[in-house]
Amino acid sequence: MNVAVKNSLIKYGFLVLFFVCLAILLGLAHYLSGTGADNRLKTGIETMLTETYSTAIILEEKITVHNAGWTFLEAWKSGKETVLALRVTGTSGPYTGVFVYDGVGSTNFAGILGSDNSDASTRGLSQYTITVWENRITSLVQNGADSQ
Amino acid sequence: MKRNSVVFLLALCPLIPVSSHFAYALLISGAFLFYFVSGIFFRFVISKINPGSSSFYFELAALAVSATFFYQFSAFFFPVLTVSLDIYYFLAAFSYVLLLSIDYYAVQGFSFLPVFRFIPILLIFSLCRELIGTGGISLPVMHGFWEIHLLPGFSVWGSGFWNTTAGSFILLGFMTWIVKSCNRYLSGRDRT
Repeated sequence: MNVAVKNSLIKYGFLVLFFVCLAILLGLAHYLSGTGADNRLKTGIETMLTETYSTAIILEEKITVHNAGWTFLEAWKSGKETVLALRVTGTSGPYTGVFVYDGVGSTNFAGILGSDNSDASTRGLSQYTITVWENRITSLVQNGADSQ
Repeated sequence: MKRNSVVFLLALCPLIPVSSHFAYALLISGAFLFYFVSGIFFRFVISKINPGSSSFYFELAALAVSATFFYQFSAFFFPVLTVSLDIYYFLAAFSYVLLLSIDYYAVQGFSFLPVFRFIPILLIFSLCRELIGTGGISLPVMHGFWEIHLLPGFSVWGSGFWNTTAGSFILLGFMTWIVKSCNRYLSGRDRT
């Protein structure tokens, strides 16, 4: 092994070590924050749904919506229903919208999470936008939502 | 200076949705600062290792890591707002303003850093936009927004138009005009 090859190996070895360290840090951060973040979001959604539907709603296990992408990561089972929290963008910026799939074949928009006023129309979200999301969620969840 | 204004204006465009609330702007500003500091650190480390012409791509990969790290931090403390902002955290990590600032810092230190001009613009713009468009301002809290209503009677005479994307472009135009007029006035006064 000549000197140039040896130097390259050392150089790229350090680079790999650096990225391995970053990956470990990232994994550690996810381990420490992941469950807490999920629980806080879940509690917020439960409170909002309970206020909206005037009945206690408990979210059960987190589920994966297949072939749905990053936007649909926050989804939970609640009895036969599926509850999703996702970013919906209207004319007044993005909001966290909560949708409930009834388990039969339709999805309803429950409201905007994290705001005093969960009325979508005053937040720049048109009925058309909401309907598009409802239809999209219905087709995606029907095609496959599994427990994690 | 003309070119700088255009750069700032273009840099703000992808972030127009984010400037709809002061709470969002605060979080994105925090993200920019975090990415800037971590970007300088990554550049330092990668330049020491010196992987050659691929350095830039390793820096981008490292910036993606820092964006993910900030995303997790934000999801822990502000879980509701993070669902709304997730994609913008990653857009911000690869924005021209940030990459330019890291480059400038490497060459000439703190003398001119676009990110330190961009953050106050974003904060002031979002503050004005939310105040005029909703009658109050919002701050990020664990369960979402903490909304403070400042303009009494806004529900009667206020217009939500100013909080929409169209309204925000008009506001941005007004702000640019005011800043340019002030600059012209100040430079004229200095000459006389």
